[in-house]
Parts: sequence; structure tokens; C-alpha cells
Amino acid sequence: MTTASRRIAAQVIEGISAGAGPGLSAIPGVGPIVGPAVAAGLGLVADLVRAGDDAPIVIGRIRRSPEILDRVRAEARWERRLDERWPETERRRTGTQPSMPAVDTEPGPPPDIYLDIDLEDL
Amino acid sequence: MIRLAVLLAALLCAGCGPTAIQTQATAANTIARAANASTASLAETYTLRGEALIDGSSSRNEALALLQAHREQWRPVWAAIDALASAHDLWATSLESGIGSAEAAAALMAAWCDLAEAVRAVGERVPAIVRCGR
Repeated sequence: MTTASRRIAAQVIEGISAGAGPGLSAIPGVGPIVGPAVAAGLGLVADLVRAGDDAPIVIGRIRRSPEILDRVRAEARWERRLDERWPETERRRTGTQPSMPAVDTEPGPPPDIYLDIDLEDL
Repeated sequence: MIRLAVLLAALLCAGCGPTAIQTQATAANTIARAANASTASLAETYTLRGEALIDGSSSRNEALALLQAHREQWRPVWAAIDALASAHDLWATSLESGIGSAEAAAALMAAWCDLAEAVRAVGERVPAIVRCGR
């Protein structure tokens, strides 16, 4: 098998793998673990086909927990859910009205950002 | 799921010539994929369970206490994942260096079994790509 044909065969298998994961997970009773696991298994077959005898060694890494948890944003989602369920508590906690912008109580003119307008552009 | 246990056991007994290294590297890469897919699913379950705890609470303080207990319950899972990642890094680096290490591969399998046990303790599971002897 030539390198080109191995690459094409691997791409076909990876195409099947890409469809198999979500497809299997959608079947009632199969569960969310089995779909990705089958996809990973097909990924192995694709890798073996592509590798042949002389492919360079490239190994993916396992993600560590901070990155995993950052991806799902668990703490942020919980905080949001807490605020949705107990908005009164949230207002007492932060001392602000969640839907209203903060009022500028500083004496003197408005901040420079409001004056940074070129009248010729209007 | 394709069982990699037989493959890994064979690799441990095999010499580490170029072909054996390449084959182990392929296995290591696939284990990383399987682990990343599994841990992503675990993290989503972890998050959804936390949301369910909030929904089932009668006060914010009760929800916060339940969430803290939830974090503590899952802490061993995240520790096991980090240990697995470290063991995998060691194995992968040895393979990328063209050396290979049966000890590193064995450590990876032990780490996977530790993860499986930690995950089982929170009522979930990971794919059985390694036979853990239980």
C-alpha cells in the first residue's frame, strides 16, 4: 500500500469515525461514553492505516483537569444558575441592580472617554 | 470499544525496535484521544450535577454547601486525571525520543485503573481500555 493510498483509506475511516460518535450517542440506551469510545477506536484503526512503517512519531497529550474544567466553565455556570434562582440574594451580595448600569456619582465633568468625539465626523 | 489491553500487554513483552516504538506511539496517541473524550464527558456530567444540586436546593446557602461537597467528592477524579496525564506524558516523551519504556507504559495502565476507580466512586465510568483486574 502506498503512502497516498494509506492516507486516503485513513481519511475514509476517520469520516466514518466522525459520524459514528454522535450517531451512536443519539441511540437510546447506548450512553454518552460508548459513542466517543467507538470513535476513538476507529481513530486507532485510521492511525494504524496511516502510519505504515515509516510515519513520524506524533503523540497527542491528555488534558489536565484545569483545562478540562475551563472548557465546561462549571463554576461560571453554577454562579449564573445561583443568580438566576436567587436574584434578590445576588443584589444584596453585590449591592447593585443586575440589569442597570452603574451611576456616575463622581463630581466634575464626565470622563474623557465621553468627550473624545470629533465633531467633524458627526 | 476496541480493547487495547492485549495490544499493550504484547507491547510490553516486545522489543523496542523502530516498528515497536511506532506501534506504541500509535497506541499512546489513541489512549490520549480516548481519555480526552472521556474526561470531557465527565466534566459535563460534573457540571450538570452541580446545576441539579442548585435546582434542588431551597436556599442559596444550602446550594453553596451542596456544591462544596460536590467539589470535594469529585476532587479525586481530577487528581487521577492529572496523574494519568503525567504518566502519559512520560510514556509519550520516551516514545518520541525513540527509546520507549515498558515501565512508563505500565505506570500509564496503573494510572488508568486509578482513574477508573475514582470515576466509579462518583457513579460514572470510563472506557475499559485497560484490564484492571477487578
